[in-house]
Amino acid sequence: MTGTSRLRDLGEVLRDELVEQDRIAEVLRAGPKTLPEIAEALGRPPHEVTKWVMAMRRYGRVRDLPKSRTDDYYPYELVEERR
Amino acid sequence: MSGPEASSEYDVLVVGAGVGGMESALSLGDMGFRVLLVEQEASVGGRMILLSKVFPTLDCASCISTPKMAGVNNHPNIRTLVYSEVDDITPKEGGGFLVHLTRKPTFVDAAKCTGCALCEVACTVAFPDEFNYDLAARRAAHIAFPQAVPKKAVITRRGTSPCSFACPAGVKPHGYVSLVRAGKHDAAFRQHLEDAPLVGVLSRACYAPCEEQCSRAALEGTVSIRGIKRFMADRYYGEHADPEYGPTSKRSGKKVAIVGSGPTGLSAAFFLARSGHDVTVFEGDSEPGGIMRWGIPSYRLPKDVLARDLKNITALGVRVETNHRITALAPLKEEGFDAVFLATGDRGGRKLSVPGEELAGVVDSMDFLHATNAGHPTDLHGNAVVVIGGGNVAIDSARSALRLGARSVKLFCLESSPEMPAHRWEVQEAEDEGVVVTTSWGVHEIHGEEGKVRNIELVRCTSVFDSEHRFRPTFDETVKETVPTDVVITAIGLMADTAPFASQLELNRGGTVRVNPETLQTSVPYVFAGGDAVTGPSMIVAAIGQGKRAAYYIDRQLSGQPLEGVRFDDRLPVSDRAKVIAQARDHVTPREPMKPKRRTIAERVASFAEYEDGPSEADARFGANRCLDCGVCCECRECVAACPAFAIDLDQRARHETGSVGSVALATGFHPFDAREKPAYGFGRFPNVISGTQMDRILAPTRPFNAVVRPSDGKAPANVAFVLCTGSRDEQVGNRLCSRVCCMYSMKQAQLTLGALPVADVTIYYIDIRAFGKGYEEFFQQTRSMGPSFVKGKVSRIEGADHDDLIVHYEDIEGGGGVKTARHDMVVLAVGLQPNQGAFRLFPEGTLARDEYSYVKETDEELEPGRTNIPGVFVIGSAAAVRDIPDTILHSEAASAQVAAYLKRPGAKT
Repeated sequence: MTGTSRLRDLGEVLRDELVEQDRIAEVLRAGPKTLPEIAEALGRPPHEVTKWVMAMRRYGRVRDLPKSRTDDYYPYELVEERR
Repeated sequence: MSGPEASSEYDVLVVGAGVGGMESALSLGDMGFRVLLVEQEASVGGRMILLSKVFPTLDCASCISTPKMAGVNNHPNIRTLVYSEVDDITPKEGGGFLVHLTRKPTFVDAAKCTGCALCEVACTVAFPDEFNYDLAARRAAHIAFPQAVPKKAVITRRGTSPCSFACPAGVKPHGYVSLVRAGKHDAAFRQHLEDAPLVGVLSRACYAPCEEQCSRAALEGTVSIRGIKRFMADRYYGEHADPEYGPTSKRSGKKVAIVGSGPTGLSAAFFLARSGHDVTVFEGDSEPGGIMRWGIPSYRLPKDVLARDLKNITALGVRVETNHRITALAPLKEEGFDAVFLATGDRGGRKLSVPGEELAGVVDSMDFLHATNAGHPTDLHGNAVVVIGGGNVAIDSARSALRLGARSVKLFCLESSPEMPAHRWEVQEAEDEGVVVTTSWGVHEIHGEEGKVRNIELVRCTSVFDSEHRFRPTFDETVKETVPTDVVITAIGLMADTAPFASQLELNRGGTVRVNPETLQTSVPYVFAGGDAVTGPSMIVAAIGQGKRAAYYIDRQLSGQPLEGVRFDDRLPVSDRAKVIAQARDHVTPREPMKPKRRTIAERVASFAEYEDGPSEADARFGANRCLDCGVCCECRECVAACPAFAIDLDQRARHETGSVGSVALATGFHPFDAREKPAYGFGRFPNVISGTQMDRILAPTRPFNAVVRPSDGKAPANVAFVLCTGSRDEQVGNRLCSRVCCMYSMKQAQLTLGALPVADVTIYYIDIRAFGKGYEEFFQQTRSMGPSFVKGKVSRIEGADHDDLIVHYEDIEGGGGVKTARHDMVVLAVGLQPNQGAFRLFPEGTLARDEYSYVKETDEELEPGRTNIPGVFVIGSAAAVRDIPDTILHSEAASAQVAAYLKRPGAKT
């Protein structure tokens, strides 16, 4: 993100979570991952994936795991299967 | 609501329940004054409750706020109204004020809501969380924040979404589209079934007025609502050969006869049976379905789809008696039916009334389609076919004729192309298949030989409607054309099938049944009528709506409730489509509409097999995700299903109250500066440039993230910068005032950042540090001792770097001068505070004085704190000038004393 382009419309990014969370769950079924790892697996911008994962965390679908002091990123794991 | 019993008289109205308003309300309440405290948000607490800690003590903001929040909510002398707006305040003659206020609907029964938040988890609409300053998503159904007082859910609704508002059957497309988007496909089907039973039929044969109103239609194209429904219905029926339910357990003991099994009759049967009535549908034909069974060709509506839809109705115990044509109403009453619903639809088409109409080979479209759907179609192989008419039935007839082997199919209609009643897209589909559509021709005569049609003579139609849009076709008799043909199919309009009842009911001139348009009750009290028998030819979805409406009022009559004084349709007004479009335009990513999966033309015309396939799950979800959530809440009712306390009340509406108060205290607070107004700083362009208010949320225990991480990628930042004076002391943004708080809150945030991230580098870019209050200088020194870099210099701009890092360009005043750059993981803009000008609109224009900065003006700030130019109106805290929390509390206490003195003035009526 080195350019001057605007970030994508916030409402649109947030709406995407409803679709993307199943893809994120699929990625996390293989095991806990950090946000950049999830973003890479999805091919989506990390700052958008951050919003989606944090919403999934807020509503109980993923949880964060501890990280060591030397790690930059927290890993997240899937909590439960729905539907 | 809390506090004293609802009353219309109070000693003081406090507007705004932030820390200043709460403090003032508590003081005045403790003095014995009756206080009305009005807060526009769903919780009291204002902005302070959203802070992490307060300076200079680093006390927990929640720990200080929550006792006051609970206090105002439970004080015997304070009536607290949250989610309410003061509309206006008018001085009364002789003193005091008249107050009008609106209690906005929360759509949740506060008395029942336990604050469990299960509605949030179930909700399918994501929305920016304003209490986290847009750092995170919340749901349309939500609790404002974890410490909210009262801790009650609120559902954000901005009217009925245009798609849902457009549906004459009351189906809520926004709801099922949102559920499909969220992958809740079964719930989507069930939500539709709540509103209309013929899901499969509507997924094929509905003309989708919802799509015409879709806001996205103004961008790249409508959300493909019908396609999404098709996916939802096909998927559900594929997994559920039969309904998941049986007859309802409640029985009313009442019997209802429904005459006609078209969409109107079946819809009424469904809803009446769900209400516990014993329903029998009488159908004159050999199978139920009416126009859906006999009129719509199977390439558009496969009969197995209709059959499965019918199970949704018969599973409720509805009996369907076919080959039983009802022509008299009285015998039904004598047989014990308590109510009768006439839904006889249309019978055959109108006549051309031209010479030659009696010739063999001239057929009525409804007879033609009926025979085709009955499985004994007219053999048209090798025949030239002319279809007369410009509506949907004409198009269906023409396309069916092609499938029956016609050598050629030519369609002529009176109307010009834009005037054709058929939808443009279905005309196009017909043309694609080979139908030749020619507009602006009428029939002059049909010629034949040996009693059989040979050609049709057409005359140029010059206009169809008169100046008042009445059907009054005119012709140019000098322009005629003769077209050879073997078969003429006439489809120039349908007539209501009501003739048998002409002597039993009042009919209109056109033969439709005369009814009360609201209740659909006829001139005979126990008889109701609806659908095409009342409205004339219409759409299936409108017919379903008529059946639903009739069921509502029949149920009321059968249960002894009056038909007057209630409204069947009590939806919220339609949401502001133009506003949604304006917001979306240039902001949302272009996403092309879902394309229907049509079969090849050769495949289509070769048989009556369905001519298009439904979308895949991926396509349906992608298509559903184009929805702009116009009304925010989609009415999917997942919250209703999830709420264990049955607290969700989507029928709640705004309530208006009028009251009388002796005085007014304005505690309307401030607005944080919108950092987008400093575009050089990159807020809104770079995810790791955040505002000070956002940083406080990240540092708070109730933060939107799991830890102190940066928004771009969840990294624990190793290098954080704070840029002071963003939007304050800045003529460029029109605010030359010092915000008074950003130095101190930035140092607080720096300390908390270092507490959370002990090895992080922290840099504070400042012009000068203003630490003027008690303990503030010590706090500054304490911050310095923790190690952050204080760089004296104005930041000129911020640019993005790789890995979402940021390059800060700044003027280095003390470090040797010149413009320098520094790289950071994250930059916090210490935004200033700006006046909330909402207080001025509460009073008659221009009566409440403002100061040069647009704060509420105090008449004498030093000697009469809080007093405004209007006697009896006082201002509190940062509504008068930017203040930190201690000063706000001090000012609110001073203003409260002024209020008390005013109320106890000699001669006051209190």
